[in-house]
Amino acid sequence: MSEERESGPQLSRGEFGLLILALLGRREMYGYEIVAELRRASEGAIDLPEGTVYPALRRLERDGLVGGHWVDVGSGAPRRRYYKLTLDGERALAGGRVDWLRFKAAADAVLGG
Amino acid sequence: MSEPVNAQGRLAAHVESILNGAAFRKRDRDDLAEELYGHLWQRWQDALAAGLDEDAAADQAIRSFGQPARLSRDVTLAYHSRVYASTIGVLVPTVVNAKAKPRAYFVVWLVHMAALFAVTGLLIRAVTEWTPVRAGIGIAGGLLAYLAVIAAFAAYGARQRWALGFARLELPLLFWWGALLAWSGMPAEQLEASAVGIVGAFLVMAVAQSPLRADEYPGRPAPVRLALSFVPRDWRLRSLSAWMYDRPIPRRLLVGLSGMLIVGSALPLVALNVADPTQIGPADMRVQLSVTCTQSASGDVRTVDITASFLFHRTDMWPNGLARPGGGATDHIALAVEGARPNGISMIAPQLTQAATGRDTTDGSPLTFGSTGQDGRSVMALPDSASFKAGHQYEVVWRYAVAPGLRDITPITFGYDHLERFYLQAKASCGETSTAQPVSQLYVVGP
Repeated sequence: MSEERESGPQLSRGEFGLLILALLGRREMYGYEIVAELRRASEGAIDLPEGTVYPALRRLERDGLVGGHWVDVGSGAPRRRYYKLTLDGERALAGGRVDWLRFKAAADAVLGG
Repeated sequence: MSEPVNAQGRLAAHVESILNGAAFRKRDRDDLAEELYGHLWQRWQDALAAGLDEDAAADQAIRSFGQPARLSRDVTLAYHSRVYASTIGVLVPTVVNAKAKPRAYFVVWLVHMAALFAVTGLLIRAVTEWTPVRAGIGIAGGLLAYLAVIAAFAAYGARQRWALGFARLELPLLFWWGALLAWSGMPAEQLEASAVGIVGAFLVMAVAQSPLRADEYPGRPAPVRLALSFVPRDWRLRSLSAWMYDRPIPRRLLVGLSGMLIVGSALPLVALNVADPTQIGPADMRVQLSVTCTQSASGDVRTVDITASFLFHRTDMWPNGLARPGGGATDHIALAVEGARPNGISMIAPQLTQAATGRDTTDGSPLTFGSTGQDGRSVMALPDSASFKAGHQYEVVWRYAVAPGLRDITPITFGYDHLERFYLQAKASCGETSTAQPVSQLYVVGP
């Protein structure tokens, strides 16, 4: 088995979930797209093993923050499971943003940013 | 597992290896498998489009996806707590894909079944028969072993290979359990109760959506699937081949599980040999024997009045087990009245002239017991030992007549057996009163 690829900042489970919610706040996405968008938006800084997005999505779905549905894309390709925010997910995203900005401000103050 | 024949097969195998090591809702398996495979497939397609060949593209997709062990754990954590994920989630991942049609050894099924039967029997025995502290120790041990066996059984149901090796540990312990059960004298009805207990365990596992039910017979009603789960797989598939998954189990977890089985099996023996402070000992009783004789004018002994009294300073807590706090074994008293051989040939034995009577001298209530023989040695059963009260003195009186010609009697022996746990014995001749002392021999009375 190849070595696991993981670079950039280490994300906690909560932070990873918040980033996924933020991406889904823009539009519906499926797992592969979320991974690609995460990498693009962070300019490659966040580069987790790609498979880790699925347990995170399952957890968010179990918590009622996102909902998933299958989409048949045809041409022999496997179906895609798209996710979108639920109302609870939107509230969680708003709350998470506030918490994150508060944390960031505090961290900046300590670090002199 | 056979080697994948092409790149897409390798992608599918990667997904299988992730899901086989994870514990999650069985009904989510197909969705998860399709979603993970879809990701790998698209990554593979992108790599092909970038100019890599099929195998190199598959390598890249798999490498980017992450290690199966970590992803298995992440999937488990998405459904369960961290503690569950690092213990049960490792031992008993969700059942493997039913399409793989895995089989397992019938012999191992039997070993697990027998281990479950034995440990269930031990538990029932401890609960129903043993005194509180012994039962507590026995139950603790039984539960430890029970959990270990259940985990192994469930893992077997999920076709986890470690369950095969674990059965090797269960086998010698089965003999040990059998010996212990035989030693502690399990009656037939408890053997039946063990079987009922096992059925109960299966029901609990079925309710808990145990992997034992696997994804066998999808679409059938739950009772049918449950009934079919009792049938060893080999009976259905008529195959003796095994095809089980290698699931790496952390050494510490396996050692812990083995320890649960071994320690759990040893604790009942400890329980049987430990002194239970909730049960009385010889020092908690006072037993006395008084003998009064009347003599004729010629000096012959004519009547012998015997009074035996006993008092409990405290009584046992559930002497017959938690399940039968009010009933069970009884205490016994023993009396030996023998004549002398004045001429060295014939024996002159006292004859009982008045039926023995007993009473509680504290409250005056009668004390019933078995009949006394007309002469010689007698052992009589007292009422249920649980009916005796602490601080009350109980008394039993006998009157014997002696044929002319006997100048004296040999010392009379009185014994008290408490639930075959200890035995107190006193001896007295005419005009004497003595206090009983503990002796190690049971039911050996008389001179």
